[in-house]
Amino acid sequence: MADNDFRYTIPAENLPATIIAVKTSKDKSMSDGDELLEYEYIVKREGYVDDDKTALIAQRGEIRATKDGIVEAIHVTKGQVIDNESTVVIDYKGCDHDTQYEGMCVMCCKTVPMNQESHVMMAHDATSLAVSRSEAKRLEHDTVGRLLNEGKLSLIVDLDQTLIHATVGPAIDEWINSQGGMPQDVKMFPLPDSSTPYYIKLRPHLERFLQKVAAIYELHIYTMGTRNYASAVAKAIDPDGKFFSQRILSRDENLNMTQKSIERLFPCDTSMVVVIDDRADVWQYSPNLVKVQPYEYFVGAGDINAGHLPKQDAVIKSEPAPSTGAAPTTELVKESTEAKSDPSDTSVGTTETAVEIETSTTAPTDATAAPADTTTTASSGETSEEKKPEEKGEELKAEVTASVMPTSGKPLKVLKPKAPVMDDNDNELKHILEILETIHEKFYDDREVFKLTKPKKQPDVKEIIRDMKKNVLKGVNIVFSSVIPLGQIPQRADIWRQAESFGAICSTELSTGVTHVVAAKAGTQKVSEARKRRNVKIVRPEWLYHSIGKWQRQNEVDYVLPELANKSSPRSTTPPHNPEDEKNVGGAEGNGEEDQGGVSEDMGTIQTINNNVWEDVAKELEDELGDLDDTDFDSDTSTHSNTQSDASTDGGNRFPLANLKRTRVFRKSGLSTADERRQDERRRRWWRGR
Amino acid sequence: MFFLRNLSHTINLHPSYYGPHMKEFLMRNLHGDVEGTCSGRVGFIICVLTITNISPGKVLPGSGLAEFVVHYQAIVFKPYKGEVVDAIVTSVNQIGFFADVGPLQVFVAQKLMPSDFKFDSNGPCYRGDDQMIEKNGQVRLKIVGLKHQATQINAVGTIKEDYLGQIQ
Repeated sequence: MADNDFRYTIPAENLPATIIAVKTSKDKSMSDGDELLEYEYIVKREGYVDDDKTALIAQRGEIRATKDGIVEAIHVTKGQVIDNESTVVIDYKGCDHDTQYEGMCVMCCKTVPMNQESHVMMAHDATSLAVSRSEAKRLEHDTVGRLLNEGKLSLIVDLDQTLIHATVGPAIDEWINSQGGMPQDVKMFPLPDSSTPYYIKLRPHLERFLQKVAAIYELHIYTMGTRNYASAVAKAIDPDGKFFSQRILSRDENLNMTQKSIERLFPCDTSMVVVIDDRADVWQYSPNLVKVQPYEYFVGAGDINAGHLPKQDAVIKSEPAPSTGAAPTTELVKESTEAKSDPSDTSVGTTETAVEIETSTTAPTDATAAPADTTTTASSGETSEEKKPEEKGEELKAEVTASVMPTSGKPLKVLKPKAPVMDDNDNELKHILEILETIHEKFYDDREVFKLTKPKKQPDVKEIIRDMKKNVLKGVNIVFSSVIPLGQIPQRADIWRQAESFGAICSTELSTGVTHVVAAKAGTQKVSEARKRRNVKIVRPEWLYHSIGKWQRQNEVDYVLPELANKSSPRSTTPPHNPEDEKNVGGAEGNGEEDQGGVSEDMGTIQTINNNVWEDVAKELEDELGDLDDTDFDSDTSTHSNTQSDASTDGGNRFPLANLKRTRVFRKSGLSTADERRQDERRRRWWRGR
Repeated sequence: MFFLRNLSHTINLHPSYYGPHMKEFLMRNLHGDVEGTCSGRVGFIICVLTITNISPGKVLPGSGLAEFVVHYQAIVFKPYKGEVVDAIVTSVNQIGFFADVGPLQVFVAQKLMPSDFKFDSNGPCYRGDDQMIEKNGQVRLKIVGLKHQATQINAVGTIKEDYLGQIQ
């Protein structure tokens, strides 16, 4: 850089001057203010010694470095007399310390204090390297030019639950053994620093996904796992290193245990960077993010590297619709307490199940409680203390569990294989590939368009992603009911933000513009109010999750609440599990008007809901009230008031609300009857067993 | 550069090791304690050659441990500015590359490579007119800067001079 080249001369007023000492040498690294050269010059002074005499006085002057840098050349020697102000005495190159290694400038080798403001890290695998903003800009400019030439964009991918699902622990060893060898696409590796084997399952279609996407994106791995883990996984999914090469960034280089940041890799220009991850919160809901549905193969294992991350809102996974009336799921779930020990973290369904068991008849309840114990003892060798088998599922029938348990010594092993088979229909990567291809196409289309516009504008994936998302739920106005926990500010809930980023408008109240009520269960005030309106659709949260996950608005008819769908048309009983089967209305720009007919049909069936439903609602309410200490869903209070009003409008279908109230008071004040105490004991045992 | 240096090390020996084989224990402890360590002052201690003197053990009051000062001779590696060394490339990125000179990690920035060297992200590597620097390749470089920390030495190198660069 020209402004860093210094040519030092002796000031004209000090000429002629004699060089006394050269205080530096060629290629020497100097600091700002260091003395480079000393010289002597003569000044005349009147009346210095005597009033009438002129004295000649020798004065010393010096040349100092005006910036950190390196001496390029010294053109004078000691004793030389300089009498021309244009004579260059020293050529000097200043240094901006653009690139630093371990706090040492790589150009002038001076130790420079690490400055987080001015310098940023860019290298994937080294935290010791830092570059200045201007240098980062230059490097990124190179990258952008290279990518544009190759017709590519940058893609940052997460590993855990995005491309793969990993787990550890002896339980899984046994499961693998019982399978008689490694199932397809499951790989095992130990890490260098421990002997524990890690098992990873590649997400279905991963190989094809990587191949296709590598053609149009330059891939980077960004994971919250350790360096060793990241390298091992990269080796497993990309043995030749042709997709990721050395572009792997792990927790060890991230310097932040809870957040990921695009700026860590692309400090200045993020207009060509797309991120795919199963968590939006760690990216601070970055506009570059394409959120992926988390992949779960080893059911219950969760994200093994998310232990230090903040907890996520309860996520409702793609499960078969509970309204099908099909065989109840007998799926046993191991749950790591680390990730999900907090009761409020589990989904609403789990809470309901818990209460359902304890309020049902005594015999099956005991049966459920007992196997839970036997399982732990029987499998004490295989379950490390943090993982305990546990019942989960919307319609867990105690009898079924009981009948399975005694016959099998190790129920875990018997039931476990069911889950992976069920979960392996994952088609998420196909959807993501489509989305990524669209983004890429739009980017380069935009680029062609922008070339013609006068003020040249660069296309930006942030805008492309935003526009694509906004179209998905355009014109949808959502009210949540018993989806967001009561203690949480609704606007900050994950699902609220997600819905808004996909173009929906979210409201807390059921105002006139509302088109959809997303409800976890029927019987809340909002749901019953919405049922009175003809133009409001009541859907399960899965509708929203699936619409968001696929970037396509799903057909509401497939997501009717189970309680409301009991008497509904048969088509709503098809589980919306296989995405290929689904009719979706995503392409339509509509405000849902074309679906009016379907809704009113549902509304019609709702009118015919019989007493049984009310009993269900009453039981549910009782459960909710009984469990008030553990879960604070906003439905608790609203259900309360609304059922009261509904019951009165509905005529004879009343339920013993007074009893419930009394029960609750007793429990609170500790004045419980013997029955109550027994029930309490059971509940406690159930919670302990989790 | 490698040096033969006289160094000393203090070992506290547990009473259970007192006895006829005490000297063997001391030697084993010494090898384990100092070999492979690095200090900014001495450099990297590669290998203990001989033990020149073991001081009489002094029993420490209170603990019963005996303190021995062991004087030994060892080969040490201490890098110097201006030294030309052969290294193995460990990692390449767009800012430059890292190379290992035995235990010493050296970074060479792109600016300290000849101007014909261009970064190529497929590899990744640096390509010059007749040279290529990629992971696991061998390079000859000159150390231009050193940073000595208490237990660590870091170096900055250059290959922007004659006869430096890839070793073919």
